[in-house]
Amino acid sequence: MLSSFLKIFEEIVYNERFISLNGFIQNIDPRAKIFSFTAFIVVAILARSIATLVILIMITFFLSIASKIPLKFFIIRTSFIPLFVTVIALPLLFITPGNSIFTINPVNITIEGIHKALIFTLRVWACVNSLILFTLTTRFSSIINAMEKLKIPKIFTMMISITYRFIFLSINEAYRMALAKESRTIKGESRLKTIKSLASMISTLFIRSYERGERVYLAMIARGYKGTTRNLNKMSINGKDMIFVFIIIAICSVTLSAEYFLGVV
Amino acid sequence: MVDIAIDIRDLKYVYPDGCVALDDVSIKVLMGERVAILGPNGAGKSTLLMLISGLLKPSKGSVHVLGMSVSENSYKIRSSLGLVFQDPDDQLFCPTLWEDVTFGLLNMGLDEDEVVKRGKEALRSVGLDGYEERAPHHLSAGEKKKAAIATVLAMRPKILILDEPTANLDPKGKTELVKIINNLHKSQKITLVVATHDVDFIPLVADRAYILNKRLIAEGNLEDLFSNSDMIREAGLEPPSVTRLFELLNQSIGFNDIKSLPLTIEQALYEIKRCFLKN
Repeated sequence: MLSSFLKIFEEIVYNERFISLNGFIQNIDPRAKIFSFTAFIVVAILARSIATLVILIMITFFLSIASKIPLKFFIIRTSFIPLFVTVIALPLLFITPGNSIFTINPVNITIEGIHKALIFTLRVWACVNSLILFTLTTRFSSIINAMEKLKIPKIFTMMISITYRFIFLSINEAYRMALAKESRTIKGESRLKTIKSLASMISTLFIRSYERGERVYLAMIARGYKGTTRNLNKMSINGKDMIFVFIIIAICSVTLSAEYFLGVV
Repeated sequence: MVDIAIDIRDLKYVYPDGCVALDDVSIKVLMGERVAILGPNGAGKSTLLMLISGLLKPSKGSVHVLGMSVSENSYKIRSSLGLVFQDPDDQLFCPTLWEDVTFGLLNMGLDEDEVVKRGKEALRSVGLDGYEERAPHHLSAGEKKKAAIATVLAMRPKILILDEPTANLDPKGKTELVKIINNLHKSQKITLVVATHDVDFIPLVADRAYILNKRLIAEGNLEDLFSNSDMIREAGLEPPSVTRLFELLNQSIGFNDIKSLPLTIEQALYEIKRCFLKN
């Protein structure tokens, strides 16, 4: 069970299958991507109508096809988060006051409730779509580089990059510890004992991570690290990137203003 | 004085918890030498290497590298002394291999052309050209080890220090490692210090050894050290497999028509051939 979970996790975090394809978004400068996708997410959060959100989701589908990511893969990859969100949104069906369409006392489902739950789910889906599209088409190192070029403090980018580098290593370590424990468990144990041994496992993992952190730091010092680093990568923004940013922002502002001024639902 | 690479005198190191890790250790390594630090687990080998690189400060005694005191010139020394850690995952901390290889170079303040040139050269010398954009977590254990060596080679160290280099390597990885290390020694006259307990590996990459178990137990040529098998065993080690085989042959059938016990398969083959040709 745990190993299959780990496999899925690794797949999601370290999927680089689509990065090297010569697709549309792959060729956009990472800074332009960060900028446009942030704008996209802001609009998705501000949007209040189903139509706007559907348009936004359609745009992500279109972009995924243009980037040579199979639509079916993309939908499967992105839809499991909205599934969770639907569960979270379910209470909205019952607690939102309004015209009820289905009543068994005391349960009362309202049209407004359905509307709210739907918008909530679609909104999350649109955001998740754009983020997954971003990470599927951008190498992690260039995301970090782009953040550095956008003047995000080095301490943050370094923290993110080291976290990314070691997160799977730590998970693997936890997995090995769990296996080692499993292999020495010969009879069923009480819930309390399982929790206790889990706690000691977590603390061991903490200590090990701390020690690894220490060694990594020493390895950095051994190669002359003095608290600051330089960066070699060059990035160039060209006309194509600017057009992409412009189009995304144009679409976002048109849909948003249409919603606000015309009251499209 | 310049031809002394590492000069350690009366070194003592006590851990913060009061545990004595090393005591009364004096080591001298000449430029261009291949020296092994041999010792069982927990003998203080890694601690010694950290002290040589100035990552730890000695409690007593002094460490000089290339004639400079490590505690005063640690930054200067780090660019001419490359330390390869035991676990490559500690040494590869960047999203791509290229960033890891250039990390030290950028810290040295070199200009971009030089960084690119040295980075490529380092990857080529360990046979990893074309791996620039690869992420460290996608590499195999052998590739990770080679990558870790490349990250310090890029800085063109005069002294290369390897901590337990054969840990987790498969036989092919070991063979490649031996080739890489000896190539470096031959082509760049690099000074080698290898800390390990892998006694079969040591004769392939070193000529001289210090046997360490918190204190120095012995020092000398490998042939002399390994022929004193009682001392080796007392130190918690064993002679190389080939040497043990010849030791047993000596005792059981008096196969003692040889000058010194062979340490490697090649030496053993040579001795056996010589014996057969004589008879």
